[in-house]
Amino acid sequence: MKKLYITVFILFFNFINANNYLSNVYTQTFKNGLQAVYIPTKSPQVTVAVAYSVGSINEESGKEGLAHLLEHMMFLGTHKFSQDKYLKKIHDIGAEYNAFTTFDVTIYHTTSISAYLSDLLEIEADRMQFLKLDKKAIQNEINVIIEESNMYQNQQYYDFGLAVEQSKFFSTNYARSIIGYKDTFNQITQQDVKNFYQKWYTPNNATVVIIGGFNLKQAKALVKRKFGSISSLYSNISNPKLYQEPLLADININYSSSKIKQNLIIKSFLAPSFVSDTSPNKQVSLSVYILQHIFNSKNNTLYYNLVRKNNLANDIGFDYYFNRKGTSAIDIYTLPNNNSNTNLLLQQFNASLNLYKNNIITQQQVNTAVKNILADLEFSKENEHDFAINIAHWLALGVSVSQINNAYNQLQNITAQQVNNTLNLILSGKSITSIATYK
Amino acid sequence: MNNLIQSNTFIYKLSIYVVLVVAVVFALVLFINLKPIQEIKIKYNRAYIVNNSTKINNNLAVYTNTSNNVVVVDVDIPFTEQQESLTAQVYANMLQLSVGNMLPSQLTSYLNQNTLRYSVTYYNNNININIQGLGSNKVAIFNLLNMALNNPTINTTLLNIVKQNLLVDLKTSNNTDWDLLNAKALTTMYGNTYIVRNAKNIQQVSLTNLQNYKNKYIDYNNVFIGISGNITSQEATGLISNTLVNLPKKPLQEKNNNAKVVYYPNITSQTIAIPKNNLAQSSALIVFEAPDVDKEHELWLISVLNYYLGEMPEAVLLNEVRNKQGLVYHISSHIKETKQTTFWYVVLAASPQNIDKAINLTIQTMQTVFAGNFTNKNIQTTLKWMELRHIQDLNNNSNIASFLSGLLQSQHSFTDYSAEFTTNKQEIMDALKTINTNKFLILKTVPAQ
Repeated sequence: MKKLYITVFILFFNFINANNYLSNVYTQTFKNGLQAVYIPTKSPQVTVAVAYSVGSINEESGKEGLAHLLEHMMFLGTHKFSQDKYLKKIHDIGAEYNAFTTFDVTIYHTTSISAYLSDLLEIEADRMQFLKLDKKAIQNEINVIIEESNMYQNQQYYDFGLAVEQSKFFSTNYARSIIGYKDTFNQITQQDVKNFYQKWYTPNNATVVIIGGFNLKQAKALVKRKFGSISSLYSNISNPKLYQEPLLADININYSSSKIKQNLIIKSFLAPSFVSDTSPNKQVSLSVYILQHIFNSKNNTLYYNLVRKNNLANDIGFDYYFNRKGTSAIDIYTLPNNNSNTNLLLQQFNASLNLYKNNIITQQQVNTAVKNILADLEFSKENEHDFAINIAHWLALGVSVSQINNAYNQLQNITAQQVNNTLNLILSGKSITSIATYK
Repeated sequence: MNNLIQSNTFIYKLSIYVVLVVAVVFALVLFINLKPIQEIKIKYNRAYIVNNSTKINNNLAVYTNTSNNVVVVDVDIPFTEQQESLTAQVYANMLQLSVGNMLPSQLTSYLNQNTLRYSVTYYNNNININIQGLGSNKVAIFNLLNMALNNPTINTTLLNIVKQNLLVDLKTSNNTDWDLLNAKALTTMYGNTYIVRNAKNIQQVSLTNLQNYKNKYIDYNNVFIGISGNITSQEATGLISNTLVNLPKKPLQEKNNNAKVVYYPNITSQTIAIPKNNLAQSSALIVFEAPDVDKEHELWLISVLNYYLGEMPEAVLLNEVRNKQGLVYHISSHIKETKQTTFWYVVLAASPQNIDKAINLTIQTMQTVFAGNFTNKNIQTTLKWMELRHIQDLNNNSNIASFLSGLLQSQHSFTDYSAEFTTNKQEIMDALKTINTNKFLILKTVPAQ
């Protein structure tokens, strides 16, 4: 009995001390499965972000680029609003609009003055149901996407980057190119696009996030009126291959091209994303998130050794795909000051990374990282548009508002020991070393 | 029988009442749903921001905004000579790495410990310092500003690090095609008066250049500070007084004697092709004349037309070249306006096979508009769009602070500020007559043979 009282007391104590980092956030789920999130502020503007839980990982083999193509088509008119009418409407309300496709989600975001909330919701509800998908328009848009692809191909690291991703995630759908491949673009038919749209663009696969200056009651009524009666045809479909098998050996990639002007070294390790993390309280992914901040803050041993002490590198960086459904990865990268020093830099890079096996991350570094992560959250609220997109992204991955809030609270419980243990675990696994060099 | 009639009458009356009640309820429901959403009062237009800011002196303005617990300080430090632009870039990079004679690692620690976001950038003849912090740590924000303005680190070690960084930056930038076209365009238009950002010129920036730059431009009368966020004007005045008091203060006469040098671009109709290896996509830059620097009103009129042509959702160029023909992924037009020069340019990119077709269609589209193929309604909707965008842009402290520092620099009156601008087709056509729209310089990258 005494133990029970203590347990209840501790839980209660934690509860009343837990911070609500996402305050003033209201959620609602409709009968048709649509999730809506409302974040009223005092702003004169409003952002509507609609996230569909579909991305390139959901494409069939041979139809790569379909999710991204559909994203483009969503701006080309419905049966109610032709493209001209749609653009005119956007123009008349002074809206800023865009969208993006990732592996896991596709997000549409539009911002305008608060008075036009109804118009923004009308546009989203309309194109969720009545997209036109004209054959000629599809072909035209494929040409536009080919140019988009060409734009990326002009970038010196693009092909190298694709090779690195394919090596990391070879047994998953994350090894694909989101934009697609030139030899598959012309295999995509009008019917393919229609089928994909009908299958994935349904209310129970969508989240609507509204942030800005609006009346909550009125906004809820609007969402209900615009989206409430849309029926959902989507049913549970098995997920594509999301989880990468552990690497059995180290992999080395050497990419040499006259496109490369500045050499680049990347060391990659597999890691769980926040969503796929099964450790207690997500401590592994949260530890990696903290590591990302420590490494990118330039106050760490690796930066000191490579940049300051040995003057071999211009910079170091640490990328981690925190928000993904399946297996994620860490990329630690560095750029040599002088291309001719690349091999020497690589040696020093490996040696410095090995130092981290000695648990050298301090509690002060962890505390400073957490402090800055929480400060970042405050700064992010300044940009309501981006804030809405981030929330929509998480919800489309299946992470709830309370889970996001809980994660921020849990961050403060992560210790240096946990961070060091996580880093040790990652560094002791197999890795992929990728080097891009000038030819 | 009477009972039957009475009961029928009752039923009849009851039916009418029921119908009436249903009708009223239905009408009420309809009315509530049709009632327009109460418009949120638009109070964040530029006039509102200006009228509700406190202008403390000619170089400091504060806007109190408690919607978030963030404070932003934005500082513009203009310079006058294009030939000093590389020095300005190096100076900005040095400030980014170190202030107050701290080691770069010490500055990094300071920023991390105080959760400050600090950036020093260079654009449009300005060095810009932007510091964001939480409202609970205002002192650290202003300490940092004080060090950046009054105690920058200028020494050989830091200069060498910055040069090294800039050289790496030249190689890693994904904009190298644009950099190439831009540099070529500028040297073609301005000749040797234009200092190109390349490895050789970066290496030539010296400590003396930087010291001279500091002495010339870091001056009380040349520093324009906008502050926005969870801070009152009294707090801001108190916290910044140390910084302002320590700034050198040249006599205004001397400042005004630094005569503004104006560069007039020499735009001649020609096409310059720059060969490049491994070209998946050709980039193109098309340059037109714009009204001269001192013709402010004409410049504004042309900028309105520019929005209509190439910077809006319904932009004509986007519609004609991308939406209808699928020739490009990106196309946009911009007015380049600094204190010293102006020009008008279009950027686009297409496959090497289609680039000429895209360029020709772009020029054709622009000439059609120059000939008057737009209406007053087009202009009115463009103006409305611009104003709505401005309101949205002023939705966060960073943009408000930046707006205020820009306003101070332009010496706009704060007491008589109006955000109302209006124009019509005729005025724009008159402004077009002040420039030669038949001349344009075309630059494009092409596959190397």
